[in-house]
Amino acid sequence: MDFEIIGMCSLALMLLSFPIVFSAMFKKLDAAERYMQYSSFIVGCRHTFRNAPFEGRPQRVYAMGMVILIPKVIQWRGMVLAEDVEKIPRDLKYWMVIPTVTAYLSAVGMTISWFLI
Amino acid sequence: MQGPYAFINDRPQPYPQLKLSLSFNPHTQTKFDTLNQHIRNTVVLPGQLVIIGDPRTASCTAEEARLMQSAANIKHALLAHSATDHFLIKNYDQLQAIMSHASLGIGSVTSAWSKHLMQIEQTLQEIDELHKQYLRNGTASARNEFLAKRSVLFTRLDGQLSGLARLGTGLKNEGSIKKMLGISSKRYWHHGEIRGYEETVKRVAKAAEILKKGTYIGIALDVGSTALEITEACSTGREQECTRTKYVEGSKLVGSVGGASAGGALGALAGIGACAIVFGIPTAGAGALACAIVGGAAGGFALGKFGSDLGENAGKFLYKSTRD
Repeated sequence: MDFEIIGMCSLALMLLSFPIVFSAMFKKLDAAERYMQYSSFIVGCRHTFRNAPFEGRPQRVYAMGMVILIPKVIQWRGMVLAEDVEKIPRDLKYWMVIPTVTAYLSAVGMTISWFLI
Repeated sequence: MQGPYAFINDRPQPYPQLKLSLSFNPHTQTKFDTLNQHIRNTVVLPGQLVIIGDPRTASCTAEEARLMQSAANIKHALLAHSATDHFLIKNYDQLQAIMSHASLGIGSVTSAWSKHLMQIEQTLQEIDELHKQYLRNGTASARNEFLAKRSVLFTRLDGQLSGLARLGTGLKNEGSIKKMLGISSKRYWHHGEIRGYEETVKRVAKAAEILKKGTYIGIALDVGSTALEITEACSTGREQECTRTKYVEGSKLVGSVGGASAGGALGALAGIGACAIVFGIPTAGAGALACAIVGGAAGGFALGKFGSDLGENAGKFLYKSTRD
């Protein structure tokens, strides 16, 4: 029963994260991406997802979130400069990171609880 | 091979070249031209039906006429659903591959969904017909028979509605989508199987259109029509089941669609990220696209399934809470 509740809460969290993702992808994403215009990871993702629904904006928000969360790992492959990430204003970072973390946490919660129910 | 048959053209090729590759004798060549007027003197596109006539007779048989009708319908479906940019024709093989390898992509869900809806519609029509029969007779003995038959139909409908929000995942039990739909551009068709192909083409065309316009809009439309069907199915004396169905199936649907869409986005990014970071694949090439498709399909399938099941639990929980 506990895992069932965790699963349901994770699902609710995922559904509740949609408005935040939509706000981020239509109001903040372009501004955040401007700081990363020389990052091959961000530019590549934008190109790859250009034909996806909403021009791939949800994926691009998650990509930005990922770059902000693990810049060193992506820099290791030469796809981003950690200095560029540091230049992004704090509030924009939050707008990108919160939806990403929420979505991944809820996905992990749903997956684990589904297997353990 | 006795009798007429047809096959699906699998690559774009000029009509004369296609004819040449089939190596007919002059007698059958004339008949081939007559039967294949829908593709004559054009570039034959992938997905179009090519008819091989009955070699035993020079005149057209009824079966051949049916095949011609089917071929014309298929051509119409192929062109009508991608008239502007030939999206379906250009991507026919890819779409077919997507449908066969990913019984999980949201686009393929649409075809499963429409089939499911058709089955529900059929059951509803039977219920409707039963009501009309009963009204025509109206006797006491007819009433008992009517109630028994209606109970059977309602049980069937319950079964169909219980899988309402499967969103294509249920197809897994019946093998691949390709096998289930019976589509393959390399196989030859006997006339009896053509109708199935016609329907498949329409579904593929619909899936293509919806993929192009935005899967979520297509799902929303399907959901709307399903909701109408549920409302129709809820009759007097079944209010309780009706309410329960609304809670459970509604939550399942929300969980499933929500999970699949979020899972698709997260999975696509996880796929591209993993490929780029682990294997060093550039993020803007064909390799990255393949990683994104695989990741998106896996993520959409997994979270769609989890969301559906967890949504069902949530619906039951909500229903219990409101009833207590």
